[in-house]
Amino acid sequence: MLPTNFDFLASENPELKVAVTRLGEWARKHKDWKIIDPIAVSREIKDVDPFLLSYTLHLLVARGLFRQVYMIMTPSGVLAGEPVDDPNKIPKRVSDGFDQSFDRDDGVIVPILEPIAR
Amino acid sequence: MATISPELFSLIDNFCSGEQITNLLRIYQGTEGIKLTAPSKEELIKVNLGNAIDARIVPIEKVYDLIREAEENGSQHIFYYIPAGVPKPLGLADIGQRLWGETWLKKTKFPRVSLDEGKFVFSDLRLFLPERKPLDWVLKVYGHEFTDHATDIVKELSDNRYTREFIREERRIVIVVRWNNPGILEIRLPRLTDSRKQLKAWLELTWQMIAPAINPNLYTKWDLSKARAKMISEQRKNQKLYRCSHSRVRDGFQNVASFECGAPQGDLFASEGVVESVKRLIGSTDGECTQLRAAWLSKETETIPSRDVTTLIGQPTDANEVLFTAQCTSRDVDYVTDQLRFFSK
Repeated sequence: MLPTNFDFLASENPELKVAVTRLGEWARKHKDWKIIDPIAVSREIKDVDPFLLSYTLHLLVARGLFRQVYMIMTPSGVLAGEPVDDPNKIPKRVSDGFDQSFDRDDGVIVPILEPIAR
Repeated sequence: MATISPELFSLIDNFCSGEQITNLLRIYQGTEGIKLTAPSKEELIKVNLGNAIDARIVPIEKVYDLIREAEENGSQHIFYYIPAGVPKPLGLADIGQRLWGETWLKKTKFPRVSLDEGKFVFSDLRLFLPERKPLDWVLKVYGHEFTDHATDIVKELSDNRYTREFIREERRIVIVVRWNNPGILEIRLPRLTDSRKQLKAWLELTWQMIAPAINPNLYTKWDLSKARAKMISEQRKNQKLYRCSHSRVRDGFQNVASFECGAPQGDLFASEGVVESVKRLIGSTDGECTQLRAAWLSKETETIPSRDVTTLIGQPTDANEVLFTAQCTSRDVDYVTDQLRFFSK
């Protein structure tokens, strides 16, 4: 389950308050997810400056709450497989959720954020 | 070290972790000659385990059990069948006698670990967990195939002419036929190929091999569409039991809709829009769910399943197929099968 409270970032950086609040709401909405997908975040949070949003995500990594890993997005546009710390570790053939395999080059390798267990 | 043949070493090395081997040795800790640590996995198998087997401290059957548990469960497609008429359990002796005659126990000398190049051969017939399910048995087939993989090495020969390097590799195909009492026959095929055609060829071959003992005409595919429909309709009630991330639905007009969760471990039915759409497609127009990807969730208070077990239930042309995406334990697989029995009622 994702952490949902990032308020400490807002107290340190008041200019991020809206981005932090909206990101917390996003995490609560996706409480069943185990990762933060920055693409999904930017698609869903449209009322916050993209720079402030990405800077907030950057701080989550910089503060050691999350680490950046990689996953592959299937041709149908959803994430598949397990997160890996090196994009080269994504196999050449990957299966989607319906067990249809596709070439890694036909998908998109995307950076995502994974919570660091505490 | 003579006990561990190269084939047996390869099986142990491929299918058993160092921890599993150490745990096996640990059972006999304190007995002279038992050493738990080794500088490498190879030495742990060849020296520590090999010496323990030679000294008859560790029965070789325990090593076979380790391999069986690893290679027979998970990371496979299971095709489920049920008897077409009145269920009549087939016994282990019936199977042995029909395949190899009265003296099958002497003739077969199972388990067999070696492969025959390019052939599929029976390698094991035994009771499955006799203390827990005495009427269950397992019949195993080992196949040997060569498979070619392209490398990234390309050699230019001249203008517009080039060669690409391929590597030919041997592979062991492990096929398991399991009688799961009461009334379920399972054919388990390894998850080694992207090709449905290849998978169906292995399934066909298996039926041909077992036909002298198990008449294919007396079995029918276990249609899991009822289980999928019930799992969808009761998914909120069973949130702690399973979580669905993908579903494919065919409506009464033969239109197919696919629903996929944005993240693999997400809950598809957390979205009311998905719930409503799937319900309407299935419910009001004689539709059905043809595929459902579900993770069976582990619980802190229970040991089974030992971890979250991800399955894809159904294929558009095979309503009786379940894919277990990763390695798991025999109890995990049985747990899922029992859940499918429950949801099929």
